[in-house]
Amino acid sequence: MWIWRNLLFALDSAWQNFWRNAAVSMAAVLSIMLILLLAGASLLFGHALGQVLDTYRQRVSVLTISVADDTPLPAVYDFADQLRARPGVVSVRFVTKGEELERFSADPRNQQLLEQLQGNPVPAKLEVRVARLDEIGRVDALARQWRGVDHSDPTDYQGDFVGNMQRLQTWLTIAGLGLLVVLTVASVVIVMNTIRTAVYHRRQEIEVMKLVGATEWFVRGPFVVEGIITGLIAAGLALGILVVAYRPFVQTFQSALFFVPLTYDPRFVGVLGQDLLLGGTLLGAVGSYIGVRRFVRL
Amino acid sequence: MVIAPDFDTAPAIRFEHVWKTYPNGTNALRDVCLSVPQGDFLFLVGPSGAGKSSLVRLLIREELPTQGRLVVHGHELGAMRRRRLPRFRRTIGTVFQDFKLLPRLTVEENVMFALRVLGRSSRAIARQSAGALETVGLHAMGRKYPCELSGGEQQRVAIARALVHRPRLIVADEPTGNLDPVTAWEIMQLLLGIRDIVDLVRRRVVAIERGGVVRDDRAGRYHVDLAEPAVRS
Repeated sequence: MWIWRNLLFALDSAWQNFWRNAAVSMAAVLSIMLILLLAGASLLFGHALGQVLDTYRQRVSVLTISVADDTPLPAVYDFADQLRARPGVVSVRFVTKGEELERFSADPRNQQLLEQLQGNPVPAKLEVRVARLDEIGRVDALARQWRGVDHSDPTDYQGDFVGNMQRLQTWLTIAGLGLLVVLTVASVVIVMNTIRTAVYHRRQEIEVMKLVGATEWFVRGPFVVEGIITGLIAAGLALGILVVAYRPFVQTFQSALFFVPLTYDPRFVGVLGQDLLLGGTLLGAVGSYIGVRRFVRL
Repeated sequence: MVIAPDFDTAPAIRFEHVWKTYPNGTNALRDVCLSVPQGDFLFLVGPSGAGKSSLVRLLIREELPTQGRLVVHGHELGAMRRRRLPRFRRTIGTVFQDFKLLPRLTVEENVMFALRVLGRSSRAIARQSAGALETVGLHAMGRKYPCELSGGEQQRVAIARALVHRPRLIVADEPTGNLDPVTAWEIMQLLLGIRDIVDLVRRRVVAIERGGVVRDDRAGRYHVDLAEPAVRS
């Protein structure tokens, strides 16, 4: 029962104090909102980049290995089995010289070239589909060492493009994490100082509370709740702005850069909402806990 | 001033060779030995800077002794864990020279505040605070704010707040220090009148100078002390 009463006291006290120091509270809400807005925008940006990369990844997840004409068929099948046994490999398909020639001649641009050639100049192929991009490099290395490979044109995949994309993603992830750390520290400091101001205004009340036998958590409770209220309001505002801005941003992007496969993902809005509200709550709670710690020590 | 309203034979407060030295090297208390039995009404007197306030701060465990033992109601304060502190403080009522009332709260809310912190029910809070305000003669002023009251009335509110949770010990640090002689006298009468509630049996005057006890008058000369506004607490 007393826990319920104490909780009510904390909520009531925090709510009153939030509005009593409205100017300071609003400054904190706005600062944290801007920070969460940045964090949310970087999350959205990261998600959009992920979407684009996923699309490209599907396109470049196939590696073709050219098979030398004199390679015996059992050796090809052996190598195909060896590749299939690898965890990152989804499928391996053998394309015979005949099939490959059909495919080659299906392209009208190759007609003239075909007329000048005799026999079947195109090699047989092994088409390897991988689940992860990093696997493609390893399969490539393995294929180049294989005896049956056609050394004049061993493998084909967009290796440079894949490598560059992977590097870009790694760097962006590192930069995003760095940005997140900076933003987190900044907002904790902001909440801490806001709560310190509130504590300063109410130092007499805290002193009296301690004198009449309040526990540390009883004194701390209202401030932590106030921090959470600040964080939640800021997160709500930031989320609102991002939700409103997300669809027009994607649409503008789609019309300006039509070749980039970016789409509006309503499911991500839910994830973003969860992240921002949780982030706001945690930032508010941690900031105020640190801010008030020194003053509530009995 | 210390009021220990009980009849137990064990001392309510025991200072055993207590020293208090502040970080700047000042010895606020030097080897204080003092035993206050249950039921004592003790006046601690002495010039400014004698160490009275330090003694009070140790008593409510706002500070710790640098040396020696201080035992209150069987608890050695130097060894008390921090999480035990709230429970200990609930056994003490404290009155200060500067009243320490919360200006944003009404008189009634100020008194209620002490009970709210303890998580009492609203009904118990209302009943007990009305009783405490009646004891100090301010039951008609419950809805006023501290700034609307005179100094004497504000101190009465502070006394009501110190009494409302029925403490075992009341500690008053210069309770009349900010008041004119007539009001001071009224406040002292009020504190002495609390004996109706707490069944006081003895009054005692302890004088302290330069951090040490210089006189312990068990017969009690508080009437003389009260007549001289210079001697307080």
